Amino acid sequence: MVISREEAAQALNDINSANKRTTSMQYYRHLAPHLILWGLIWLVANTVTELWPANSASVWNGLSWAGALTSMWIGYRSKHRNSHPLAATCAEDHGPRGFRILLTMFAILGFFVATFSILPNLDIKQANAYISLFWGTYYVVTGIWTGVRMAIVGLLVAASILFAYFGIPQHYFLWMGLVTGSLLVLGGIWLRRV
Amino acid sequence: MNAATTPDEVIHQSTRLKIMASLNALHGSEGIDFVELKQLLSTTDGNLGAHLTTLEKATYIKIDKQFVGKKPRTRISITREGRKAFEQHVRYLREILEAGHS
Repeated sequence: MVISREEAAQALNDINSANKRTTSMQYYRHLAPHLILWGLIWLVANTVTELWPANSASVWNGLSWAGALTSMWIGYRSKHRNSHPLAATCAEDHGPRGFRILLTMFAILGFFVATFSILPNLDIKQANAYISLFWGTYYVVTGIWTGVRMAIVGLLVAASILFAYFGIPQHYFLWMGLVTGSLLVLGGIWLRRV
Repeated sequence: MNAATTPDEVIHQSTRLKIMASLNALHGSEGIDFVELKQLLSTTDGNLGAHLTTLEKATYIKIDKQFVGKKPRTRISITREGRKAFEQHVRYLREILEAGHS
């Protein structure tokens, strides 16, 4: 069997492209349930904030902690199902992924506590937009490293937040719940379908 | 590291090369579902099944058939021999390109 230079180059291109597709697919499979989960949380918590603002703080607190614990469980389960390229490398070297997700969340929580102590007093809408934009940016950055679909979801989420904040401030929370939350859920479903 | 001097005829066929590249991208003993692999390679059930059988006979891949509830699930993973053979074949392909440059 003789392989020409052109055939070898073509074969290496095919290998490279199959490798990229598999890696992206594995990342998407890992990220999709988190997007769906947090999309549902945004949907419920923002809608409650719009319709029953008195219950806003308790709903956000309860759902955020429930979401963090569920994300941990998803990470733990995903490690044991071997569905994510980072699962093997990270878990072998540094312990369970669920625990790493918890640490990540504490780091992000610390970031928000620190920045809120620096920023002047924000009203509830500004604080919500700030935190939500952080996550939109996080999804874009994750997408830059893992695959274009994730970046698109992040961009759409960020655009939706900015539109709600500047375009329809009187119904900001309703838009954030029904539209931006649904965008996250649909984004998660879209990633799963790759 | 030994130089690869011959191509692997089992791996070099286009679809099998893509199958091996996809499986090699997974870590350790991770596997991938038949349906996912079919989507990744944009191929048909019959075509993928035939190539998987060839790779399994060469002991390059492992095929596990399980039932999740009532649904059958076929999971495919690369074996240690398969990973080694694939890496050797890639090395061979690179050597061809490098020889052309020198």
